[in-house]
Amino acid sequence: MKRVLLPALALFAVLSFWQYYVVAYDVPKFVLPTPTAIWQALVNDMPLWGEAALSTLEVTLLALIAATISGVLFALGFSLSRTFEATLYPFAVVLQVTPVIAVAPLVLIWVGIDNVERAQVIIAWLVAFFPILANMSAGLKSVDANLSELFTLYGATPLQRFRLLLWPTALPYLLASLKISGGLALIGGVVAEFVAGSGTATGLAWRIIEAGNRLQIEKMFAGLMMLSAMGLVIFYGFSAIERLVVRHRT
Amino acid sequence: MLTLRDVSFAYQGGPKILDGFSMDLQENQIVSLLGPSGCGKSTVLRIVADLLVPDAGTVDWREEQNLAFVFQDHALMPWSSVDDNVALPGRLKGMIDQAAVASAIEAVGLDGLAARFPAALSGGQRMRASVARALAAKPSLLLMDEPFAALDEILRFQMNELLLDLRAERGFGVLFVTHSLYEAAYLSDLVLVMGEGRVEGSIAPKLDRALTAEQQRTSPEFLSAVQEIGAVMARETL
Repeated sequence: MKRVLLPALALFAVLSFWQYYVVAYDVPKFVLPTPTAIWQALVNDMPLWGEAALSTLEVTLLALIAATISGVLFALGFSLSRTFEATLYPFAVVLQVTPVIAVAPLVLIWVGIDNVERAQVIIAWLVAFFPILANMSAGLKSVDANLSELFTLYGATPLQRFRLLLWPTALPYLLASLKISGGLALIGGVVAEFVAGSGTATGLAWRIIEAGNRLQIEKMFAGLMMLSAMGLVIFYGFSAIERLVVRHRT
Repeated sequence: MLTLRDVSFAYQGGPKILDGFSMDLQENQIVSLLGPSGCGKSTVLRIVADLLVPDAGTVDWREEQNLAFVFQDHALMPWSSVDDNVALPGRLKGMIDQAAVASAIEAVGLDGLAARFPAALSGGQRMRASVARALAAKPSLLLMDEPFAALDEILRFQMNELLLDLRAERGFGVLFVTHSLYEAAYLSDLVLVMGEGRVEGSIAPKLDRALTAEQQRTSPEFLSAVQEIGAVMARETL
């Protein structure tokens, strides 16, 4: 209860002060609109926002699925072969440390000219991949040594070892990384839309750019709200799954 | 049923852990390995279990016999119920014998708790579940690596009784690693005191199992076994 009530109260206090400040000091709406005006902008154009949100969500989820599959497979490869890990891990780090905003234009040129969504998914994948790889690798390495010996003693096949030991051990690590990578994929998708510029993409970021060009600040805030809401849903969605998975373990 | 002769072992690049280690274990015998940390007790268990390959020497062991292993930390799968944990050996061999699983759970006194997860069990119950998992493998030889070391004294006594009862009911040999000379003296048909990678002394306590646990623990046979083991250990640590 506390976990919901306290942030809600804090939000209410901030919004109330914001509303009061803008009205009392007559702040121009192209500088800072009131929360009620933002809400209006959101409600009035709900179908449009919904469509844009779906587009962004699609990119985010596609990138996240690709990042999960590739992250899990590479982590498995790393756990099976030290040589494979030593060869590829530095490149995975390069992916992580190179700012995505600097890479995005290249990706757009290479694959985005005829299909901007494909470029968006790749850019979002670039940022979502590493946390999954790193966490999944750590998860696979955290296997209980005694249990592992027991699997050997009882003649487990490689598939049994993966299904009954490695996967359940690493699953909480994977879910923890999905909470991070979900948000990162969303950021990656938004960055891609920003870089692609107006007229190409149909997602929330493009709506924000469009509103900014027209100085419709309340619409920019409405788009931001949608993005924050999506990020929250992704984060708490994975948190809920995580709680469900680990509920018996502690 | 198990014979080791002149077994030597060293981890890669390390000093010799075992150096000319020999022992025999007869059918249904409990043999304890006792000795200071790092003397190679656990290594012997792992060599018998074929988890480690000795550098020299022979391990004679009939292939058709079943082995089971019990670790000091219970090594249960936290994501599985007691039932599923106990069924693990069968599942890995591709045939779960539900009756054997149920009987193993009952034998360790966990009936009614089969649906629980390890986190919802006490330390003693977890160790019982771990023993049940070993029983479900229908072992002819049970390898136990300081299984009761993390339990308090009362629980340890209870688990000692349980092990003796199970051995009497089901019939299996036990190779038991422990730090406690009292536990070794009470449980074992043969106590092997180890030092520097080999057996330095062996003592065969002759307790009368027809007596109660209390009577056995205060019997002259028990006390003299403790003294004898103590004397060999003292000689080893000098």
